[in-house]
Amino acid sequence: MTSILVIFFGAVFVNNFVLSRFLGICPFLGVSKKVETSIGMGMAVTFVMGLASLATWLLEYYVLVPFNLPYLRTIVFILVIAALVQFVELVIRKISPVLYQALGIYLPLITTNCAVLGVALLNIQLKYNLLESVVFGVAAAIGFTLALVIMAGIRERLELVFIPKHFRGVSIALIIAGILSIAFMGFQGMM
Amino acid sequence: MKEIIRLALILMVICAVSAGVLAYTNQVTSEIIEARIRKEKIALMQELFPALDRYEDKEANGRTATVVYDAAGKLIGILAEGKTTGYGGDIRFNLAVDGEGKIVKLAIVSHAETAGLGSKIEEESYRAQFAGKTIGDSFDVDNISGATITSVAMENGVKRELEEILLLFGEGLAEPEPEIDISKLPDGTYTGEGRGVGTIKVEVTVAGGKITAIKVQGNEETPEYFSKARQEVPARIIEEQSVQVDAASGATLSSQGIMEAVRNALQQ
Amino acid sequence: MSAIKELTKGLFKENPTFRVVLGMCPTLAVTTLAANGLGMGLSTTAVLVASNAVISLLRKFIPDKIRIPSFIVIAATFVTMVDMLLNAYAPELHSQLGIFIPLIVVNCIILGRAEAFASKNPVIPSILDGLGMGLGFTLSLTVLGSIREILAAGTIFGRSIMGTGFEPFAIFGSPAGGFLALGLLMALVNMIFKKFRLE
Repeated sequence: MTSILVIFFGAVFVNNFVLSRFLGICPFLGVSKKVETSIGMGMAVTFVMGLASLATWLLEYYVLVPFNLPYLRTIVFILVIAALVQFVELVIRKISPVLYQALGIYLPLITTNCAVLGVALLNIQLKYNLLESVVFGVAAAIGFTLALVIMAGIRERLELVFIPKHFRGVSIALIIAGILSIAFMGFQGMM
Repeated sequence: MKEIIRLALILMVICAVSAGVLAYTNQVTSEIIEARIRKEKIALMQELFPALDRYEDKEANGRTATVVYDAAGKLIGILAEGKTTGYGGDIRFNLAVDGEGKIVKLAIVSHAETAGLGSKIEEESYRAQFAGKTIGDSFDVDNISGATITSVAMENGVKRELEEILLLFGEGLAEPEPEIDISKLPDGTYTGEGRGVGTIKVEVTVAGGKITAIKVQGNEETPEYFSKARQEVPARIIEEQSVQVDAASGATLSSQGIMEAVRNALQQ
Repeated sequence: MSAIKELTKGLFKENPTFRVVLGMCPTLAVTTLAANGLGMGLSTTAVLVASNAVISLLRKFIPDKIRIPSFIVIAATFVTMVDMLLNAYAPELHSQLGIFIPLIVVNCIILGRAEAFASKNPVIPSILDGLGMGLGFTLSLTVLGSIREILAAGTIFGRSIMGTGFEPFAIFGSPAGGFLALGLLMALVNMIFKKFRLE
């Protein structure tokens, strides 16, 4: 039980996917301009990353390893993630049009979010079991959402202040991310 | 319907071609990769243990190790992995031990310590300090300044892993520590030393086959943690009449130091 | 003339890192050392050139509806090949880059160029486009890697250049330093582009 908790808090805070592992930077810089959209994106990503961790773990240990095909891992994982995203999109559209309206536009973006493929590959590399993998996937996504929402909050305020001309846009966002990353370094050594 | 079949077929052709190409590349490269890993391992073993004649991969208690023998069949070296918990997470390292149970080489495999501080455990000058050490030696090496937790984790971790490796694969190089039978100890006062952050000294009083009092002294510990460990750990030892009790939370190092000191005192 | 333009646009005017802001994850993650930046850049270039070439060759054969999955499969094939080749011939680089090699497949540059260029143009321009974009990416990564290596360790490509009195800024070796260095560098590039009216 403690190891599950360590994995969970480790992925959310200590080794935050965005701020310390550098996974999922593109949506972090691109989407995080409004708090509301960030939460929507975060929910969609959490859903997909949990499912992707489950699906890729089962594929790795019930298909790729028994048939001695680990070299097809990248191809299989990315296809599974792409299919999963499509599937999730279909299901959400059928079940809850309201949720679909909220999440719909983010779903296609998730396939190329490297945090999703990253978490699937890390689960294998870190030799996690099925439960640990799913917890790690969900926690990583929560960490991603946390970074996204904090960033969006800061950027909403940045709209109102003066920023030197050349720093506007991505440049200032990266510097803020750097400062956030220093803040998150404070979580190191706490576990 | 016909359209869907056509699309599926095209996608399948692309996937099949790609799988074929990859299978071929894999066949070519995997041989090279395996040969390289084997060659590197043998080269490393020959460098560390020049008398190498044959080696065996062994497994025990969930750990693996490579044991090296000379032409006479005598054990001349062990290569094994170890790990310890540092400041930022697990530190994994490789240990090479010679036929007398001494560390020949310590190599860091991976770590998540702070760049520029704890990461200095990778440096040759730090790692070389462990060479020549064996169980029973002091593992108190020069700490990395600014990275006390990492340094202490390395010292305790390397020592602990060395003991376990020798116990599992050493073929008689190490004896398991004898259980201390407190009830058979003659009455008297015993003194011993253990390692927390610095050296911790204890005075243990045994009367009627029981530990009745423990006096603890240590000058280099962090005061607020040490006072906690000093209050809780001796009380637990006396209550449970065992040298292995729960550490005071937040003061693991000092607690372990006290337990080690008590164990050392009673073993004499 | 247009061939040269396809090749050089990726280096400066449409530089994937500084102008289009694509592929940020590997840009930040592997640039603790100049050599890693260069290695990552060249690996990505190899994948980009190969996938652009194949996608351009097959552009009339692949139906529009299954275009994206097909592109992903083609890119993933080359990524896996690069992964295996690096493991075989450059094992040290392979272990340094770690999971960021398989993650080349989700680098937006690859799918972006496939979708925007290779699926609409003949083979030769597609190869040049991939090569240019790849080299632009390599250039950015190597520059960023060099700056961070000099600041964090006082070395470049492993060679000491700052003399013995240099006190390294360890922060630039950490993730936070990656963000800060890239943010500052991007502002500098913006300034240069504005000053010389390059846009």
